[in-house]
Amino acid sequence: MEPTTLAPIDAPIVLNDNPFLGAPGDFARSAAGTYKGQHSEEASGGGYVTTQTKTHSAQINAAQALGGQPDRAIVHLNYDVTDLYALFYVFIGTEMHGDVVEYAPAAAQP
Amino acid sequence: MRSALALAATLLLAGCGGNFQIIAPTVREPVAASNVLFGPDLQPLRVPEELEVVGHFTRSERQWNMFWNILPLTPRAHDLSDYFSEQIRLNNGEAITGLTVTAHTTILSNMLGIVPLIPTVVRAEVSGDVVRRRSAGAP
Repeated sequence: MEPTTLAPIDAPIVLNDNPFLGAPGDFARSAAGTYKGQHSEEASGGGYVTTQTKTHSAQINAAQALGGQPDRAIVHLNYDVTDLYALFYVFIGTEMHGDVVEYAPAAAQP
Repeated sequence: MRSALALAATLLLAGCGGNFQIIAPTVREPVAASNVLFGPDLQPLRVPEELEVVGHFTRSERQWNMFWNILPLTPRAHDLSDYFSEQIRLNNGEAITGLTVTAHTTILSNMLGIVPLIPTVVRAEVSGDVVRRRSAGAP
């Protein structure tokens, strides 16, 4: 399967809780939604045929969740790797989940 | 005879395989799937403009299961926090970017796994770059 990458997305997408490099300024963080994306390949015929379908919602959904806003990030990202096989069907895929958060200067918060 | 045929058909159509999670919730430094991090003032720090790559790593993760994925032989949650921290430390970096996961199918393992007592394996390759700010740590 091709690598599942989110490299082209122009915003932090982190596995932990910290998208900052260096001690961050005084920012308030608020939840802005959740993120879910998938990259998978399927084949039928006992796995002897080439890939028939391919989806890559990982990057599309990340871009939508961030909405082009420079103060947003995805945190708590996790990967769910699945490999399933039955005689006439093969599925292999990576599903990603995360939380979308938004930062604002603490003074701007009510 | 009829029972044997029914058993054979069931085994041939049975599904197997498995799944596992890759997480890193407790690592202190940022571990990013993208190539961008926030600076202290929320400004974007990008590779390669503001961040330089000082190392690269690749690690193979395996999950073993039995009984058609019902019985995991290793914990399904693979926490790589310690591994990522170690990579950052070894390369004198500040963060990880460009984390990539590549899932691999193992047809032979899955075919053998139709027999419930034979363990099956699910594999994924995890790779990424260790980075640091261009101004940080410079001699």
